[in-house]
Amino acid sequence: MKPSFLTLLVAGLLGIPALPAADLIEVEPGIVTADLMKRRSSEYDYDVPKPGTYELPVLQPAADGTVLGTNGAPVNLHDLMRGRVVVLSFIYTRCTDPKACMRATGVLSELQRLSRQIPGLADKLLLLTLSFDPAYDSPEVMARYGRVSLAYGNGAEWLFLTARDHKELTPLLTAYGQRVDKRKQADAHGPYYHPLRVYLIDPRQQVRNIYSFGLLDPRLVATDAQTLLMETTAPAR
Amino acid sequence: MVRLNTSAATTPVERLRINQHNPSFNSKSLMKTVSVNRFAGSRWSRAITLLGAALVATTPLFADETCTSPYMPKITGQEEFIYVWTLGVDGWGDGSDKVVTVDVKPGSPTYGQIVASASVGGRHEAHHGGFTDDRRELWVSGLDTSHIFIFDVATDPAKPRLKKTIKDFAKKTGVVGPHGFYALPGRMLVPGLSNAKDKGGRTAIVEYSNEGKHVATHWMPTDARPQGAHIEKMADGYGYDARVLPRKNVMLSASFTGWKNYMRPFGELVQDAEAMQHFGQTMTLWNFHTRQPKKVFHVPGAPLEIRWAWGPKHNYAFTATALTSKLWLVFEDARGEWQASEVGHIGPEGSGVLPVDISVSADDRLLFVSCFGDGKVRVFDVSNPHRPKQIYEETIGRQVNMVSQSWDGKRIYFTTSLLANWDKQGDDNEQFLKAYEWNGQELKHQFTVDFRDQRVGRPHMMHFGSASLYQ
Repeated sequence: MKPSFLTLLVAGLLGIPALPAADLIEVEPGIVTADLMKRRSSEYDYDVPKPGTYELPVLQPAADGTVLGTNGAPVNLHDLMRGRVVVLSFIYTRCTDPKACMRATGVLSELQRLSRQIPGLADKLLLLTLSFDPAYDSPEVMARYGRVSLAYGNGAEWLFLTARDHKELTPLLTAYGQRVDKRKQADAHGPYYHPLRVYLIDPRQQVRNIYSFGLLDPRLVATDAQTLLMETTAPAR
Repeated sequence: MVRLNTSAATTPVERLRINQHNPSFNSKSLMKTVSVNRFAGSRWSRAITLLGAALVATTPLFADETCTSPYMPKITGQEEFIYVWTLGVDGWGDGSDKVVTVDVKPGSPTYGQIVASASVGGRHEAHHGGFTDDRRELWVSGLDTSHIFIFDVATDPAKPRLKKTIKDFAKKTGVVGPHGFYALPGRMLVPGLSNAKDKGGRTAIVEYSNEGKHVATHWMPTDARPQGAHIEKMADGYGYDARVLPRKNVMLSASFTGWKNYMRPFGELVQDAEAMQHFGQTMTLWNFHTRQPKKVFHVPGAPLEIRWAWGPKHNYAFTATALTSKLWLVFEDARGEWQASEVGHIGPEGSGVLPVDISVSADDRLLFVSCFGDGKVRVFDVSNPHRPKQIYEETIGRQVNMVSQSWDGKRIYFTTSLLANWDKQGDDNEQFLKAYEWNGQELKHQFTVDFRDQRVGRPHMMHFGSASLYQ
């Protein structure tokens, strides 16, 4: 979308650096931002592929289970997921490892922001942050965590979830392959040891990609989500 | 767009949305994009804003061994064990391929000794292996039978336990000779060497989930089916190693030869001029995310192991060609184009020393090259990757194959076996694991585990283990 003179002027007044016109995008009438999909960084120093030009094979079925929302209401994951592309991130709020949970939440925040600039994405993308520390991460704690994470109110919906207890949670973690171990010794990074995992799930509740550190480029996740939305037929299981 | 539904809830999703926090941003103001600053005093908000609001640069996750997948957790201190994927020898013990654990923990009463051995039953042409991304499992394979053996190394890191065998790899994929195992999040990348149809060199890169389910097969580009790749001279469709530079979203693969050649006695093979034509001459650069080949470089002489540099701005990888004894560099040039160029000879000019494995130091300054032909390791200063300079060489034995170094560059390990039918004969057929210290100038021998005297087998691939990973 080519921004109008007026929007460029607004961008200029708001102090957005003078970028080439091609790198600006109008996310709403009157609101211009840099086209984040075109922004490289030293960590992700490449152009993202065009959505729909590649395949994302089915890795595994996305497991179902009962989780709790920030109001404490129980709900089945599949009821939340149905019909939408889902990005599911397992975290715990006591994690202080900058390369792990905070990182994942930061990327979901970025995805929510990106979803505003990609036409049709915000309505069809669901972001889920699910705690694997139900003893500490009560619905109230997840609500607080959500308040500081949600920044882009008109982007994709983002829900913050926890579980009633480990008994309900463990089968879910096992099915997704999200390993979580209680540390035997105190550690500044928090009481749990876990690999960073973020899952991309298609509208048929199948896992289509798994991201970790080094692959968790929000632009790639957004492109993958668009790729899934462009599929017209179900891929072979 | 209003997402919060405060009316009477009727569906599970709506029930959940009641009281689900949804900040009351004024969606018509750019200010909303910085509203998160309302919580600026919070530890979470600071971290999340810092980490998410920009695509920030951070330090890559380093593995301890300098030649492993960057997606794995790291051994932060001294490695405790070396798992050696070992070829069985008829008449030695049970004669079967096995994963052998060597204790390398200084001060241990069993330092420098074999402390465990887990047989897989039968001889499969044991060759390479790799850990899963959570480092809880070690996958190893046989180049002859195409079986894949999955070991649990987390429950008791001193004693790997065989937990699963995949026997239908060739049937399911059409690929023969699963060669490497490169960890990706939740899955394994398995470059092959051959194919079930003609057992020649045309092959594919296969993906399995960590649970052992086949996910995808990506056939190498060929002249007849380039798959959109730019071909420098020819595309033979051969494979060997495959490794990723995530920062540039590129994967690089190398090329060796098919089952018909690698299972043949070496002395006989080299006399067969026609068969010697069927060795890899290419390296392929892929778009890693899409798994689509982009460029096929002409790298004659069987380029084998690939080692990406580690530095955050070092966009290059080394390989060595086994048959022509050359060092090659694959690099991104000033225009952002990827190129391959020959940057040096290994061993005396005009001679072939059969370089078979390479290991780059964590600071990208040194490249260790083990040469099967004369049993020597040669160390190159590769500070200028375009002009490698040999600074040291040492004879390790009458034959040497794999070389692995610790992340701090102080400990270097070697094994001897190349392929069951290619290893040297008679007294030259030494089979050992040797450990050295590298003091920056020379190698100092620490210990030898003699796999021949102890009738264990032919040691090939080495992987580092530690109980500290599973605390």
